Amino acid sequence: MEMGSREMSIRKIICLLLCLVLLVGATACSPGGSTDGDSTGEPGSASTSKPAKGTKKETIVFWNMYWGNDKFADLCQELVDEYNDTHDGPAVELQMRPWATYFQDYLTAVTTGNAPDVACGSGDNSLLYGRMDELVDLTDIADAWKEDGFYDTFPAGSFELHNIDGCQYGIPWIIDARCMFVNLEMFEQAGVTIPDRGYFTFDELYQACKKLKAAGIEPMVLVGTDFMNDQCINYLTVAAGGSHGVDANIQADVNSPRNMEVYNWIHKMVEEGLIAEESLGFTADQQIGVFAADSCAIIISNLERITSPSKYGKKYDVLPAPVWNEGDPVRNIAYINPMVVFSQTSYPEECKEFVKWWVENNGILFEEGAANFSASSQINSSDAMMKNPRNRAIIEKILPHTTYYTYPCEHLFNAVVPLGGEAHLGHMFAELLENKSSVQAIADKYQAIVEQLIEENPEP
Amino acid sequence: MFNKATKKKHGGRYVQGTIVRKSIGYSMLTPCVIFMIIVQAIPFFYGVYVSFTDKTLFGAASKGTPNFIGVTNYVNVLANTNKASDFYQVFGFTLVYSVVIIVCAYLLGLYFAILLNRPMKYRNLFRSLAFLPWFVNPMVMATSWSQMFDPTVDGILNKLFMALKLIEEPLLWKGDSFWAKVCIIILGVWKAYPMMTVMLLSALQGIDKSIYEPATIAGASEIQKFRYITFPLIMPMSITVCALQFIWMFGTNSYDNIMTVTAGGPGRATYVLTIEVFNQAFKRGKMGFAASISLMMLLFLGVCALLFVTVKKISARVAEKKEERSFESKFLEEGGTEA
Repeated sequence: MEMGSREMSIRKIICLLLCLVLLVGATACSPGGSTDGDSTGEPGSASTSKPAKGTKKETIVFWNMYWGNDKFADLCQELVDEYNDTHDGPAVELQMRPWATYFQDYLTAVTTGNAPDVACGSGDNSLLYGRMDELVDLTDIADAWKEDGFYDTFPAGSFELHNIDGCQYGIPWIIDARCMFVNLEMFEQAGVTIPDRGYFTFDELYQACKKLKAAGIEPMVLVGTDFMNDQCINYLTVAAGGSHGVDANIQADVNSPRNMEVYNWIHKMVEEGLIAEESLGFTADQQIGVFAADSCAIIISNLERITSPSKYGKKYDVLPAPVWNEGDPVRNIAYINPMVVFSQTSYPEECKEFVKWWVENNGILFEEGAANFSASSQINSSDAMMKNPRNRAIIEKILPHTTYYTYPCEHLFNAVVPLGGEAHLGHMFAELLENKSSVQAIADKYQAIVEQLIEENPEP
Repeated sequence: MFNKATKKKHGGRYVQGTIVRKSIGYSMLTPCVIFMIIVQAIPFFYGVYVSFTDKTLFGAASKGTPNFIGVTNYVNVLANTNKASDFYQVFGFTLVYSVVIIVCAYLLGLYFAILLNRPMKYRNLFRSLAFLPWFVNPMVMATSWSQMFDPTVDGILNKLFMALKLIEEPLLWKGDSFWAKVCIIILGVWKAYPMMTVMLLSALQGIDKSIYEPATIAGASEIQKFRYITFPLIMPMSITVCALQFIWMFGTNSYDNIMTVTAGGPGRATYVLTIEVFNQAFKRGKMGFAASISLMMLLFLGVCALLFVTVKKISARVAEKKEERSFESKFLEEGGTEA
């Protein structure tokens, strides 16, 4: 019996210990630890008291994405360190984020009150979080630049793109354009010449692909599987003067006359084997792999993919987007991504100061980090940028012709978030590549889908 | 809990001991129960609540309390109001995907289980190899298979098949609606068969070898022994493991495989319900609509689980009756008389 009661006591003690462990664990998981200002991304509802200025624990959390080559993250850190060394106030803490889950990461962070202070992300961040009242108005920055002329170095309309309901929710800082990469050696082998104007018409491109095919070269490889499928069709329709499914009045026009002409052009290219049939199953990385392995002559991709400067002009070249008719303006779609400041921050003015400084001084990211290109032509025209053959080719040929990806709509609109998020037009592109239904039927189906999206996401 | 009559009958100390033991047991369960409530019960009931509202993630409407809209979300799902994807088509494909995987994984698992049940050299090594896919991280597995399904001539599978002269031109794999479905089914079978093998092997090992002696003496072939003895005896385990795998494949296990390999494409050829829920919730922002699809999946799986249990009970009763009849006939053979 004594043993029995001893056992009971031991069991009671173990039970109490287990309950204690659970309580401690539950307490440790709570966000209470951030009230001392360890991270300024603390929940807006709870910890609104600022730590004392100049204390070591003041920080501005800055989320940046992987935009460039493998040096990019280190270059960002160097830049952040330079800012911290030359500015008083909260120290900026850089956190690099992967693109793969960026949408969920941002959405979860913002809706749970754990948004960073400053962030660079996708092009629609300004719209998405601005309409949720989660962003700080950055008009001060734009106004300051208007006074000193820096504003004029940005592409026309780039600030307006991120001006939502009268508030400048995003400051453009990077241009992520789509362009056509070509293999010059394969062109020479097939007897294809690039017109004197430096770019093709759609018909000339078709003829060039036929010549490549006749020479036993795979003419064009596109992307049917991942996010790039949406951007491929966006590139082609806007280049031809059509749209990405929505007109200037935010009405669905997937099956507009010009768009239909482009879809039929794609259909003809697929039928004649001028777009590789494997394209449907390719991701963006696989497409690049095929191009880099000299297995095809033409791809449509983003600027950061082909970064070896020595090959530009010799083996590779980048061409402006084709036009539908000779004489039409060249339109290269570009994602002009913004920097935003989340309203959950405890340091809005300091964050604005950092954003302004970052955009004015981040040339090294583009010179050495191969991070696409600055939204400012002033930064792009530096000696360091222009002496790189790759950069020079893109600055001279692509950047002067960039247009926003929502063309002809000059502003972002609510439906652009699910339209891009679900990649509806990317699915449409995949169906065009698969070529199992008529072009008209495919276009009509997606016209109805875009109409429904616009109806579900009306403008205020 | 404290039964005075029991205390009188059995003596106070006995009842007290029982109560104390039960208290200790309950209190040891408490942390787990609290954890389950926080991690599972609360999200579940919140999801049920959201399914009856118009909760959205985007825009100004995302702020504040969502509006209660009754069964509108459920009606919209059943009425197929979403033009972007046909709910019934997606449901149908999810069902076909799950059933085909279960059938193929079961046959493969049974084959390996029978092989591994035989005495052989290095049997433990072969058992470990057969179970290997189970231990591989799902994302690593899916990414590897995605590379193998490369639609070009340089894709591993295409190279292998062309070298073996099984095909003349490379298969498009992810580049074709039909083959993309084949890809994800192959991956699903790869993922599911180890568990089938383990469970069926344990069922086979539980069969007493002496049961086969009369059949061997009577001259039954291996196939007859399998059909009339082995298979009925492993039926209960077969049903259990098929039921579990079906629930997993129809539910959460499909998402990571398919998103990695085809992302639901090409077009929406490999869309399953889990992807539809994710897209509706996080890319379209329609949390209420997404929650209603999730709950309908849960109800469907609940009905399927009940069905499996019923089938299992029926098959157990049939097996019992067969056993009784065979005992009766054996009894009569040995000269017994009918009652």
